[in-house]
Order: sequence, then structure tokens, then C-alpha cells
Amino acid sequence: MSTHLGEFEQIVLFALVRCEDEAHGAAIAEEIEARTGRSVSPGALYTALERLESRGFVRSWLGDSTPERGGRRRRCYALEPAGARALQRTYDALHRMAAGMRPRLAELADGG
Amino acid sequence: MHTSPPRFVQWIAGWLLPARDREVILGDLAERYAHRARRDGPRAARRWYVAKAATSVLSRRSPALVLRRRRVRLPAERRAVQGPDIAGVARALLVAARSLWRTPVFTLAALLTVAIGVGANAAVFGIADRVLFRPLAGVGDPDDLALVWFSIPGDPGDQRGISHPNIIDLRTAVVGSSGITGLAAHAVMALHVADGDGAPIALLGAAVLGDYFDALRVPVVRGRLFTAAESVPGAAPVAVIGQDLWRTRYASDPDIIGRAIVVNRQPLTIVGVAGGGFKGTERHRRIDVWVPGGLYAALRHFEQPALLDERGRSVYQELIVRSADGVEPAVAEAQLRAAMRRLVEAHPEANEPYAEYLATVHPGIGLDVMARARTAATVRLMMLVVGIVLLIACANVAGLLLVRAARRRGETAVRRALGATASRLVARQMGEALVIGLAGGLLGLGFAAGIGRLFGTASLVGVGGGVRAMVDARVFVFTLAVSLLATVLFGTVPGLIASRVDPAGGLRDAGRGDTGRHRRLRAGITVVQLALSLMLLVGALLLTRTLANLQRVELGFDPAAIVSFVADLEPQGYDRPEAALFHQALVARLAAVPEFTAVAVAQRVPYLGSPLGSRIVDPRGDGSTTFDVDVDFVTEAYFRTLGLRILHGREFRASDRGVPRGGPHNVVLSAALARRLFGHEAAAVGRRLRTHVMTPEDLHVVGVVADARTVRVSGGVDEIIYQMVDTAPLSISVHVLARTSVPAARAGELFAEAVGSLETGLPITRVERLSDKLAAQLAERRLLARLLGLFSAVALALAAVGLYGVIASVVTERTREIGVRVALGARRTRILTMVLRQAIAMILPGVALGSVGAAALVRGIENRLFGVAALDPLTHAGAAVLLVGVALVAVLAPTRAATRVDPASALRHE
Repeated sequence: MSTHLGEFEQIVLFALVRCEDEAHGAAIAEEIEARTGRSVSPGALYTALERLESRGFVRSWLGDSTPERGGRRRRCYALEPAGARALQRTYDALHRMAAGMRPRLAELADGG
Repeated sequence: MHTSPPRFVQWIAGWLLPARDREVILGDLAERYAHRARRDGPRAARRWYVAKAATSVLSRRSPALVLRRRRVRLPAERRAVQGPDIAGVARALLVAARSLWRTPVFTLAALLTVAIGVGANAAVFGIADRVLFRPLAGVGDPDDLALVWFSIPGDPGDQRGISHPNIIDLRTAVVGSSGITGLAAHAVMALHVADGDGAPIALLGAAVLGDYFDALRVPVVRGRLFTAAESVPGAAPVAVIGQDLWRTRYASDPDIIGRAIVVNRQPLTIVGVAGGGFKGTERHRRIDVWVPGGLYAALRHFEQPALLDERGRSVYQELIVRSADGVEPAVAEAQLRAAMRRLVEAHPEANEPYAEYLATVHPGIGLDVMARARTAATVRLMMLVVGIVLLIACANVAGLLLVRAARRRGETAVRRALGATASRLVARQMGEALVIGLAGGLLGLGFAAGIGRLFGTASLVGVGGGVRAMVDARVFVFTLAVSLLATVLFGTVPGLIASRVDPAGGLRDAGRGDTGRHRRLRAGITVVQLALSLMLLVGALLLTRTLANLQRVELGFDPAAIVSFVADLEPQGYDRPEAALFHQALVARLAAVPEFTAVAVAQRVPYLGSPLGSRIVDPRGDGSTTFDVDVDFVTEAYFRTLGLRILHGREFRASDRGVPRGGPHNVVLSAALARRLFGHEAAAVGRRLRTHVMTPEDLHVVGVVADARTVRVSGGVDEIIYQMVDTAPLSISVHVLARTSVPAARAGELFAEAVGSLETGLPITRVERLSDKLAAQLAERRLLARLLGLFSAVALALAAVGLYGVIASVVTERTREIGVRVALGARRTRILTMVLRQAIAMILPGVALGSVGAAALVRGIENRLFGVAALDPLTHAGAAVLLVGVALVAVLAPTRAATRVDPASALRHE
């Protein structure tokens, strides 16, 4: 199976890693919103996470509930080694492609 | 403030989300909602919640929709973006509208179909919203409120009220401690309110604890509400009135504060007007006047005001608890139970029942716990029915769009060949679907108002009459959401198919109309439609037969011949002997009115409330076995008024009155009870019975009266002991019944005249014909029968149209083939069989699928049926036959067309 990660998938995986032990759906969504300003609906998030899980990149289990959630349980996620490798590859590729580009992009964006 | 998200959005989202991730997604939404409510305030959080719930549903239900490209917006960039490309969307919609305008027949058919489906849902939601979801007027932060019932765990039907001293102690014990921030209790009572020289009017009032309004966060528009100090007996005689009463009776007089009124003959001073349209905490009745709990005894005219201080005397029927942010019901419940346990220990004698009847917390207010469950079940059933109608409607529109897409194959292929992207073609399809969905939805709102009128006021168990499906902002938002959902349902598949047209194949087939793949899809849709129609049809037939059975039930008397009313003497301060004298005089006066052929007084009126229960010792046993029986308390002419024949012995006479407690009381038995107790009716007269209750009484049977059904139409005949009304435990508030042929309104005038000649200014209420009370008892079933009847007819018509369309396009497409066959000598009957076989290939699976679906659906209405089994083979088979019949009629025209194909012109055609 391909190890290619879509753009949204990358963002989800990065957020998952940032959340560390607290990686459940709501926390991942909040993390993405706080860092990218991009609004994430649980539906879209779980669609992506489900796909990642089916590819063996993450694993999930049902966690605890809290009063705020009206007694409903959370779904918690953790990164699998395969997921970490895929994310690393994507990150390296992007990093190599993007290195030193910021001034040039700014120039282009200003119409130069 | 708001700890939980908007309840009805949550309910709808929960209903639409797939079961496997409903819990996790709703939980995430709730958690993030709470976070946002703290950060951005409840309004912004609610807006966020609605948007996210909607996109979650869409992305989980229709993966095709999230395939569209997403852009990452960085926080800095976010401000620069001016929202979506509104001009582009508007342009696409305009193009779609223009292209729809050019095909008016198609557009009209699609619009009407959507309007029916959406309108049905909007109408039912309008009712559901009013009885279940809408927050109560004037109550602040209703999400933190819960109803407290004292009941035996597992049996919510058996509930106890609570006494004044207990509630004061309970309040002191729990309010302010962890979790509970307020307690509100009320005792509803009948009030006669007079001011100046006018005649008093009958209203409902409530005695409440001092901090009732604080706990419910009711706003004040004039003056003040009550203080906690006003809870105690002997407090100042003050009252708070509702905004409605202030407006209607006092013309919104700004100087209302300090005004003196007379309530139940007690002078009170108005100190405030409750705002926000507050009408109390029960949806089914309106409270207009509130008084402090300390005035309860005086307004009910207790012989000794100190009775209010009796710990064992239940006064407050309803208790509401307000919890602090994020406190779960279980926490409040544990607090209340612990406090109640201490009260049981402190007052073991008076509070003994509360060792068994434990405080149970039910989140939400407005309907009592039993009514909520029943109403929710009815609403769920209605939603299911209209949901099916919507599905059928969407299937039809999808079918229409498929035909349209098929006709356009050539055009689409050309566009594709010229470089139009798949997404552009999908956008075009979706644009048309969206225009149909939104315009149809708007039309559906009009339908909803019409449907609401058609059903009159919906009477639901526990809510009573007066709920009308009306269109307002909430219904509008719901309709919009349903329209969009419908658009997704009927627009997605044709849209995706449009995107897959390959240029070469499309150009080759151009002009041939339908293709195999389209037709298979449409045939599949038709099968599902037929199945869904059959389900509704079975439900409709079962409920129609139920209604017919109920209307055929032998009642034993004619309820249309009797009009009843209430002249409540309690607010006027009558005691029991005074009330008895008044009723005797009233009956004598009414009996002299020529329009009334017989007049009686009874504790209870048929089809309104249940008779009191009692227990008697089995006269045939050794005294250890007992029977539960019903008791009705009536006067001499009761049987004559109802038209019930005395079978043995005699009816009541005046000398049966005035027997001291303990008896022996002369009683009349219903024939069924006489048979059960003594083997046969005649044997009962002259026999003795003994009650088996706290203070036993001796009964002496003087007569046996003919069987009747006065309690419940769908139950068996009554097994009732009739006793004289003066032995009734509550003989002050009674009903008067008169046998008459004049209209109820005229009877009301005559009643008022007679009452007015005995006591000036005594209002009479609830003037009603008994047959109207009977109709109210059947109202819920009638509503469901009409709803199912109407919608099953609509569904059947839609399915028939769908079937017609498929067969017609089969015939058109195969015209050439048929022409060849006819030319080669095929007989007409053979052509007929060929086309019919295609139709039957859809009808049979439809019937099979529908029969299975119907067997599942009827489980939901099983307990509403009477005289017919849920799986009644005749009904199920009848519905299937009806469906097949209608389906065959639908395919008749295209089939005839097929047999009349002229080979010469068919072959020339291409």
C-alpha cells in the first residue's frame, strides 16, 4: 500500500504527535485549529483518522468519558511506527523542497 | 452558563449520524462546545456547534461531499480571505435556475415532490418542537434544570409529592452545597380572582417557595418577585402575576404594583409582574398567578392553617432542581437522596414513605416523566413516517434527475470532450439539485402550514390539545436543514454519474435517451419506493381499522347526549356540608329547566380522569382474598342522566345520603362487577361487602346497573362500585352532568344562569359534551391514522409515478426492437408479457422488501392498535394487493403503447 500522505492527513498526524498522551478526537481538532486557524469538524477528522487506521498508521481505542461530554466516551489515538516513518518521509521531502524558499515566496506573493 | 449544547440540534445530529461513531462525535462536539462557551460565550458556541454538527453529519453520511478540495488558511491569512466565492456560487445557481426554467414540467414535478417530502417533515417538527424541544418561555438557562420525582426506583409511574416542612428542610440541606444552586417547587391550585366590582374569573395559580423565581431565573418586568422569607406561613399576602394576565386584564397598566385583588376571597396585593412570557413550568397548562407557599393553606381554605406545617401532608407536586455548571444529574441525585435520608431519620413516622420513594433526577423540565416518554414515542413514530415520505420523495427526484441526465448525455459528452472538468459538470448538476431543494423546501414551508391546518390541533398524550404545527424561525431553520439533506440525497448520485460520462461513449449514445446503467439504478430506486409505500400503507390500514373498531365499541350509553361542567366551590371557601347543600340546590334548579331531562353530580366525568381505586374483601372467600375495584361517587339521577338501565334492585335515593363514615353505605354495582363478585347479577342485591383499606367501610348492595365503558374505550366494560357523592373524599370540587339535546354553548348559558341565581360571581368552567371528551381520548390515534393515511397515499402515488417513468422509458427505448419483433410475426400478447415482466421484476421485490419492512414498522405502533393484530395477515395481504393493483394501473398506459407499436414507423424512426 502506498505510503503517500495527503495534506490533511499530514496535519492530522502532526497534531496527533503534538497531543502526546492526550491524543483524542477533540484534542486533535483543537490542536489543528489553534495552530493553523483551520476549522475542523469531527466528521471530517474521523474520516481521515479512519483511513489512517486502515492503513496501519495509527491505532485507536475507546477512552474515558467526562461530564462535559455528557457521559459519552472519547476515541483515543496513538501513532504506529509505520505512521511515524511515513510522516518522517513526508516531512523530510517537504523540508528539502522548502528549504530557503521563504524570501522568494514572499517576493512572489507581493507581485515581484 | 450553558453546559450542554442546544438539545434539539444534538438530537437531530444523533439521529443522522451513523451509530458506530455517534457517541464519539457527539462527545467531541459537546466537549469542544463547553470549551468555546467559556471562551467565546454561549451564542458563538451555539453557532459553532450547529455548523460543526451539520458538517460532521454530511461528511460521515456522504463521503462524496468531502472529496472537494480543502485549503489551509493560516491565522494571518484568515482575515484577508473574504469568505467563500459568493459571486461564483450565485452565478452557478442562476445558470441552474435558468436551465430549470426551460423545462417547466420537469421542474414543477420535482419542486412539488420535494415540497411534499420537506413539508411533511417541517409540519411534524413544528409539533415536536412545541411539545418537546422548545425551551419554556421565561425560564433562564433551562439546560441546567431537572425534574425531581420521588418514586420507587424502576417505577416512575408511582410518584409522591412533598410537604411544606420537608421542602424547606431539603432546601436548607442541599442548596448552595456542592452542585445544587437552586430548588423550585410548586403546588398548582384553582383560583377565583376578582378586583373592583367585576365578577371573579377562574384561573390556575401556583403556591411556590420563596426563591422559586430565582431558581428558574425568571425575569421581572414590574415590581419584584418573591423573597425567601416569604415561604413561611403567615407571610404578607402578596401575589405575582404573569405578563399575559397583566396585558389582557390590566391593559399593561404601569401602576399595577400595589393593586389590591381578591383571590379565593382573600385580599392580596400585587407586588410584581413575571416577564419573558413565563407561564409556569408545565407545557400543558398555563399559570397566571403565583403566591408564596406560606399562603397555600389560606387560599385552599384549610380548616386549620397549621395543616400546612404537617410533615406528612404532601403539598408540592413538582420539584425542580438547578445544578451548577457541569454537575451531572447523578451528583444532584445523590445529594438529594442523602438529604432525604437524614429527613427520614429525623422524622421517621411522617417521612416513612421516603425510605422507599427515592429522589430521582430527570434532566429537563416541561413535561412530567411519564408524559415525556409517551410523547417522545409518538413523536419518534411521526418522524419515522415523514422520514420515509422524504426518502420516497428524494428517490423520485433522483429518478427525475437521472432521466434529465440521460437526455443530456450528448450535451454532457460534448462539453467533456471540449475540456470541461468533471467537477464543473458535477457542480452544474448539484446547482440544479440545490435550486430544486431550496425552492422545493420553501414551497414545503407553505405545505407545512397547510398540513398543520389539516390536522387541526394535535393532541398528544400528556400534552393535551392546543398544539398546532406553525411555521416560525425554528421550523424555518429545520426546514432549511432538511432541504439541504434532501438535496444531498437526491443530487449526489445523478451528479456523480454526470461526472463519469466518457466523451466517446456519450457521443455515440447521444439522443438514445436512457441507458442500461441509468435504468438499473432507477429500477432499484423504484423497488425501494414501492417497499417504503407498502410499509406506510400497512401502518395506515392498521390504524384506520383501529379507529373504526374503537368507534364501533358498545359504550352502553350515548355520550353525545350529555353536557358537563364544573362549578368549583373550593376557592370560595365552602366546606363539605355547604358544598353538598349547594349541589343539591343546583341540581334541583337545573332539573326544573325544560331543556335538561336529567341532572346529576359526580366526582368524575366519563373519559376524564380515572375513578378512585379501592379494595374489597372477596365476599365468596374466607376473608383473606381481596379484589381491586374502581369507585365512582354520584348522585341519585346519575344513571338516568347517562341513560344506564337498572337491571336489578333500585337506583340511589335521597335517603342513601348522610350515612356516617364506616357505613353501611348503600351502593350500586356495575353488572360486570356483580357477576365477578357473586356469580350472577341478580344475586348481588341485598348482599354486604367490606372494603379492605386503612379505615374499612361496610357496603350494602341495593342495585345493579347495566354495563358501560366510562373509563377507557379500549378497555373492558367498567367494574365499578357506585357510592353516593357525599361519601367522596373530595366532594367539594365535582362535575355536574345534564342530559340535553341543546348545543353545549346554550347549555353553558343555562348552567351559568342557574349557578348565578344561587351564588353571585361563581365562575363555571369546562362546559363540554361528553362525546368531545371521548374524541379527545382518541385524538392521538386519530392524528396518527390521518398522518399515515395521507402520507401513505402520497407515497403510493409517488411510487406509481416512478414505476410509470421506468416502464415508459423501457418501452420508448425498445420501440425499435418491438417493431422488429412485430414485423417478424410476434403476437401482441407476447409483447405484453415482455413489458409486464419488466414491471413485475420491480413490483415483486418491492412487495417482498416492503412486507419485511412493514413487519418491523408495526412493532412501533403495536400498543396503539385495538381489535386488530400488528401482524394481521388480512391487513398485510390487503395492503400488498392494493399496492400491486396501483402499480399495475401505473404500467397500463406504457404497456398498451408497447402493444400498439406500428412496425413500419418504428423502423423508419432511426
